[in-house]
Parts: sequence; C-alpha cells; structure tokens
Amino acid sequence: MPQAPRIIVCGFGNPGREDDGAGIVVSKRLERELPAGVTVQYDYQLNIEDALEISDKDAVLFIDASANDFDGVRIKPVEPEPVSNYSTHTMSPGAILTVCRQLYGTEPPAWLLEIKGYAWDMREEMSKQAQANCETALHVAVNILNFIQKHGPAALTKTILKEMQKNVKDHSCHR
Amino acid sequence: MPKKITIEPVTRVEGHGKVTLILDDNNKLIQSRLHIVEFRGFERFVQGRPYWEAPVLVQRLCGICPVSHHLAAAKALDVIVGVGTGEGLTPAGEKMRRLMHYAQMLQSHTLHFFHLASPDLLFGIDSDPALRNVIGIALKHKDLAVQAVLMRKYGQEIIKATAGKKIHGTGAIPGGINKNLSIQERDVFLKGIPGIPDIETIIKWAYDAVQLFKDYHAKNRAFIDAFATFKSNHLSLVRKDGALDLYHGVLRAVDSEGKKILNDVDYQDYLQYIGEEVRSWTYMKFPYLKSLGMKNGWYRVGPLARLNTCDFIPSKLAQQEFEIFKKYTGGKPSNMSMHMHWARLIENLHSAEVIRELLLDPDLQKDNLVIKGKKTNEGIGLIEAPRGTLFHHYTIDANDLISMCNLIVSTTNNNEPMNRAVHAVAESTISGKAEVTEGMLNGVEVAIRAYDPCLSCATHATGKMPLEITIEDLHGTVLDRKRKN
Repeated sequence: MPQAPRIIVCGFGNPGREDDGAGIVVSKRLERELPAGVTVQYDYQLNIEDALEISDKDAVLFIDASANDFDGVRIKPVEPEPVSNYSTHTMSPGAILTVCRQLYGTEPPAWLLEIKGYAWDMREEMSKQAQANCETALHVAVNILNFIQKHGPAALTKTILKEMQKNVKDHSCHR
Repeated sequence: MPKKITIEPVTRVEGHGKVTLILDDNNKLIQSRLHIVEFRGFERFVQGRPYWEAPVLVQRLCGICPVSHHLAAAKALDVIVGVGTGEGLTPAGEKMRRLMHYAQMLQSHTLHFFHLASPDLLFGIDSDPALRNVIGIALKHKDLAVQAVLMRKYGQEIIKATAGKKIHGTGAIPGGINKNLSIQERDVFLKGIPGIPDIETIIKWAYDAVQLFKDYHAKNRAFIDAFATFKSNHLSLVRKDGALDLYHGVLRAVDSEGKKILNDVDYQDYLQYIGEEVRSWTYMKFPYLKSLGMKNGWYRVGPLARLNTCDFIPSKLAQQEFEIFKKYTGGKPSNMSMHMHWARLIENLHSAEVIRELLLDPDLQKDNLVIKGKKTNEGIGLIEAPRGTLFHHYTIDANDLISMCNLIVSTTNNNEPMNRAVHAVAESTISGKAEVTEGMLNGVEVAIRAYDPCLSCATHATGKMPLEITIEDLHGTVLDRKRKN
C-alpha cells in the first residue's frame, strides 16, 4: 500500500490583532481532526527555520489572513520568490520555498489559503465577516488535505483549484 | 523651494515606516525623519485585564521577540506580587527564565546575522540586491545558511521547552516559572539529536560568526568605521558588578567618551531619570536622560550600547572577543553604527556560552519554582531585549485589574539614533538633485538594517512590503518615486 503523502499545514498570524489571527484559528481547529500523515504548526510569522520544517514534506498548505482585494477565501499555488531584505521580521511563503530549495535541494508543492480580513486593531476578537470566512476556510482546507491524501499533490492542478474555488463561493452562499 | 524626499516601507496594516528627507532650495539636507508607527493602542489593550494575564498578552506585540515582552512583563509582576526585582526568585525560577531569555537572544541575533549582516559582509552593500539577502547566502554560502537555520531552531526549541510553546508561551508567571527542565529535555540541548545540534557545535558556530565579521572588518575598515558614525550616549542594564547581563541588573548610561551619566541606578526609579519627548510628526516618542535634557540626553540601546556600558563579559570566549572589541577603540565607547553587528555577534557567542552553563546547572531540575510575597499595586520590569533595553511598567487596581501600562520598547529607545543614522547616510548620498538614487536607497536600507527596528511586526496578513521612496515638495507634490522589494 503506498504511503500517504506527508503534508504540513503552516498557519501564521497574530490572534491579538483581530482578523490577523485567522490563519492561527483555522490551523488550531484543523489540529483537532487531522488525517494521518498531516502535521500542523502555527506561529506569529514564517521564518527561516520553516524551510527546514517543510523540507521533508510532500506538500505544504500555508494559511494566512489577507488584506488583499478579494472576497471570502482564496486558494493559490505558491511560487518561489525573492526575499524582502531590510528586516528580519517576516518571510513570505514563496521566500520559504526559495530557501528550502537552496538549502535542502527540494521544493515541495505548496498552496496558500488566504482568508480575507477586515479589522487589524489590537483586539482579540475577530470581525464577524472574518469569523465566517474562517468557517469557509476550514471547509476548504479539509477538502484540500483530503484531496492531496487521496490523489497526491501533483493532481491538485489549477483546474481542480478553480473547481474548489467555485465550491468555496457556493459554500459561502449557502451558509 | 524646500523639498521633501520620502522613503516608505509600506506594510499592509499598522506596521508602517517611512523616511522623509527635507531639502532646502539648494538641495541641501536640512532634516531627516524616520517615521515608525508601532504599539499604538497597546495600553488600552491590556487595561482592565487581570494582571497575571500580562506576560501572555504582551507577546502579541512582537513576532520576533515575544519572549522579551513575556519576561519583562513577568519581572514587573514579580514586583507587584512582592517578590522583588529579578533577584527574589528561586534559583530554578530565575535560571529557567534566563535560559529562555538567552535562547531568545541566540535565535534573534542569529536571524539578524543571517538575514541582514552576513549578506552585507559577504557581498558588500553595493552588490546586487537580488543576492544581498538570505537567498544569496543560501546560494553562495550554503554551509553558513544551514548553520543559521539550525542555530535558530536550537534557540526556538529551548524557548518551547522553557515557555511551554512557541506561540503564547506561559512559562514565566508572577513570582517565578511554571515548569522546570527535565533531564531528558536538557540532554537534547547538551548532546543534540538529529535536527538539533549539541551546544558545543552551537558555540563553535557562534564563534566562527565573530571571526567572519573581524575578517571583513580587517579588509573594509574605512567603510565599516565611517558608515553612519555619530557620537551618542549609550544606555543598558549591567550586573551590579559591571558585567554584561541581558536578564537583570541596574541601569547604567555613559556618554560618547565613556563617562558615566547614570551610575548603576535601580530601574524601579526610571521615571526619575528617563523622560519621553513628543514630536509633532511622529507617534513614536523620543526618550532622553533627564539630567542632560531633551537636546543632549538621547541615547542608543542594543548590542553596541551594551558593550559600551559594561565592564566585562562573564564567559570565556565572549570576554576574549570583548577585549579585542574594546581595544579597537582604546577602551572608549564605539560610536560606529556598523560595529553594532560586531557587538551583536559577541553577544551571540556569550548567549551560547551562558546556555551551556545553565544546561549544566542542576538547579534547572529543582521543583521550587514560585515564590509568593506581599502584593503591591505597581511594578516595573526591565530586560535587555535583542534590540535593546525594554521597559514594562504596570499599576493595578483593588480588583487586580491593570489600570495603567507604560512601555518603552527598544525601537523607541533607539528612535533618535536611527534618525541620526539615516541623516548621516542621506547626507553622504544626496546627489545634488531632488531625486531618489540607488545609493540613497541602499544606504538608508543598510542603516535601518543595523538597528532592525520593530515595525509592529506581529501582524502578518498576506500582502506586500515594498520599500518606497517618494520625493515631494513642501506642498506634497510628488516629484519622484522609486520602489524596491
């Protein structure tokens, strides 16, 4: 029997900054009901050691809040990218992939699940819209993890992602 | 007509900084302003919360050094619960906190070296920006990069073992600590396991990093010693006998020649000695030594300041390096901004040596973790965070709820020095026109990198973080704009 893909979920953000904690909230909830072969980690932000954490995995799902211009939840493949270089304080998922490739000679396929946020003040509660988006994100994350487990990461093509994105919208409408 | 040049790193939400250079009619620099918006609203955030929650709540201030806030708050609350200021804890309580703190210092300093210092040192500040970063190090100096990742992980794992977890750690509590270190946990860090090096390896790598700086310095003295150099006062905690101590001590400040301005005073009295100036163009305050006044009382904090204020370093290898460092300036304080990297690496070596000493100390396995005393309603906690002295000050009401919180974070303490550093660089790179040049972008960036200010970093909604430079005239008309990253 083939071994299940080793998948890591990397949630990041700050629960003390309203919707910024969305990635942590969803990761913690995922942690409670993980399929075999999936590990979850979460932290305030990504940094260089995460390159080591993902280096022995077959797939990575990053989860983060987002202030970008879209509604609800968005899934996209992560491509390697350069590093912002005037501060030690943050690294993007794409930069983590680049470091992983350079240091460990591997670059696991990765996706970013973005959760739309609306409020970023220093408070612990999330906005109602972001809370609703977290429910959707949880649903999407479970679907992605199950899909990768069943079909392998290579099968998660752009076409499948588009289909999932469509289902996300349907899920949001019917909630 | 006077003109403004604005250099703006734009983050998605609150962490927002920019540099404005104000030029006169002849394009001569007349003022530099580094704007950093941070920590607004934190006092409101903790007001009304039970005091014992503070050490956990404050970790949300910074994603890079949550441990520093955790421990500074815990130290303030030690005073409130009546057990003194850093010296009243049980041996296990104090040493577990120290282990957590020095591990934090190791991982933070290592990160800085890997991200910011080593690219400048190995490639030069005028090299291709696409390579002058963590990726360039990974590409061209793979061994160094692998070491850095493992050193960072080593520090993180000790934090996890002492604070309970990586995020929202609960290790330090008012009056002590909530767990000790088991023999099994200790042996992981002493002897190493796959993926976590042993402590002797960590010390060797930290030592090698200091040598790397010295090698570069020997070949590039003119640049290192001249870049963003300006005279300043220096402030830090020191141990009562004058030793470098990053966890606890008395407050000492010296001037640019080494003369003591603050002579080992109790930090519970910091309001007698430190004032905070407000300026109209920024939310961030400008701390100063009251005895010298607002104009002359500003000071630097951080690794450079700490090595300028202390008399010696209480660990063998770091002391050897400290003596070389001090000899270079004839025993006087170094006022050279790029020596911040040198000082940081010596502290990194010291941190590794302290971690070894603590791991070998049987007090870490003892069970007497917490002390109780007679409660008061006010407490002040200071700690030397990676970027410098961090002040936490709380009062509580009759219901044990926080009624007042005042923080002076390292970046705020370094507010004026960072402005001076940017000014020094801008002055040397102004082209004679109201334009943003590559040299100006690089230079300002390197100056900021030396201090690595905290830009409300514990917020990371996915987005972009460009470095943007805008030139405006006094009426706000944009004359030029360039963006990088």
